[in-house]
Amino acid sequence: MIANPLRLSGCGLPPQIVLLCRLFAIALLVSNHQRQIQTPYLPFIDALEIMNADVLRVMLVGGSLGVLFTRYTRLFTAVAGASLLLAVLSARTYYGNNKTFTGLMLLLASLERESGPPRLLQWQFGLVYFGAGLNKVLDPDWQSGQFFEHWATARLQNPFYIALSQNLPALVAGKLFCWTSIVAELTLAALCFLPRWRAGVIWIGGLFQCALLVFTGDPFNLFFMAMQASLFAFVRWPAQAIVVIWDGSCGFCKRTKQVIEKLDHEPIFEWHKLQSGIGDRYNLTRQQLKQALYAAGDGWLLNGYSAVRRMILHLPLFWMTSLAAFALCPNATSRRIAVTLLLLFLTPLSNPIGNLVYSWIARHRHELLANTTCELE
Amino acid sequence: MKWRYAIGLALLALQAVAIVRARFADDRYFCWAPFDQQTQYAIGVTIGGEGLTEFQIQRRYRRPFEGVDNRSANHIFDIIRRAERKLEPAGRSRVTVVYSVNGGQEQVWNYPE
Repeated sequence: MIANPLRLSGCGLPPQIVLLCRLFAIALLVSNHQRQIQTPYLPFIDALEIMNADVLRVMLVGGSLGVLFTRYTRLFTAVAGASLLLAVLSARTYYGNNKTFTGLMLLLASLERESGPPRLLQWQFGLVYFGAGLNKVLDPDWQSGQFFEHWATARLQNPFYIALSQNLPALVAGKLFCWTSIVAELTLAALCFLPRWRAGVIWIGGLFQCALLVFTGDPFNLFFMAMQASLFAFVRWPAQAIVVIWDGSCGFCKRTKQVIEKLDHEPIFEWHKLQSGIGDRYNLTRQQLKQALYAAGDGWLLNGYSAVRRMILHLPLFWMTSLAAFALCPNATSRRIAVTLLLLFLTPLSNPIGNLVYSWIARHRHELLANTTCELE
Repeated sequence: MKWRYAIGLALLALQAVAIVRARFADDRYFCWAPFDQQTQYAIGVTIGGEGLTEFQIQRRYRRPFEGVDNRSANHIFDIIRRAERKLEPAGRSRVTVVYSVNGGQEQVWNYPE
């Protein structure tokens, strides 16, 4: 019954959906969300007045722990999701979009098919953006820019926005921000229903939410974490192992491989020494392989820093620790820094520094951990 | 399993209905309108002519007696309306909410309406 939380296969759902559910579970546990659950009051459905808040809390925590530490992902995801939705429906004073969205995503994940694209989750994500975009585009304060003007100046007191607004005619900055949000949300809604545009949803959705967080410093309770984790519904998890070609004559490389192997519980990586002649399969010369590590997947081949980054992105531990670290950020500044660093890492913006560091390590790899025994030397 | 998928589709369909319903209803529950309004408000309550303290108001409606709500002002009115119907069915309570939406003009909402 007990399962390794870093192993995604064998849980009755596609690996990326298991990861999505575990990220939701981490967000709920690390943020201590059960403390926010209220005793029933002014319920949406009168019959739910009999609900017991402690039972809902136990369901939420137990369900989240079950998602993380057992193979019964479907069952425990349903328990955690149902507890949140019951909490929302049994107390109007607890109602919030972030809680409703988290509960629905968990419940829908438990209803997904064992294989194939997780359409229910993708459509749920699209519906949220459609509803949000539609409400905004029909609201006079969003059309005129008044919403953003008031929010960014009076509420957030955002210095960047205030400076921009002062240098532009009245409400132009507000209009710009309002309409950018509306266009982004309605575009995302449309893309969610177009299977070919999965990558577009991940990039536009991820960047839009990150930009919002950097601008406001506010995760809106569970909303930022839930939205980011939901993007895994659009990820295509590799069906085959990722081939990693490494220098078997280097002690540092061997130690690095051992560390990654310890974190790779599927395993998703298939390691080949460059000396094995595997390079021929990819038309890579021995000289090229000696200069950098290579990683190859379904239709892609990367080397150096880009290969290392792609490998890290396939480790569940990276996403789990990133989310937990974010949830523990104590204030707006630390949240902004955490998200900016993550964005730098995920986007090509980090390539210049990443390549520089990688090149230095690659050049000096035989000097690092020099006393380690090398297999081929 | 087809029945599981059908339940999922029904959940999505209900939300689609809620999004359409929000076009014709004041309260915007379950229609995915996060952060669409900034409502600054202050609540005053008297019961049988006697005013409630800030703490009593907070306990009664489970929200601060004044502040900013990131949702429709109608959510505040809805909670007050329902709480009063439940707690003061005799109708002795008088509630005044002074509020402004998105920095606009100050308005007043009263209970009973």
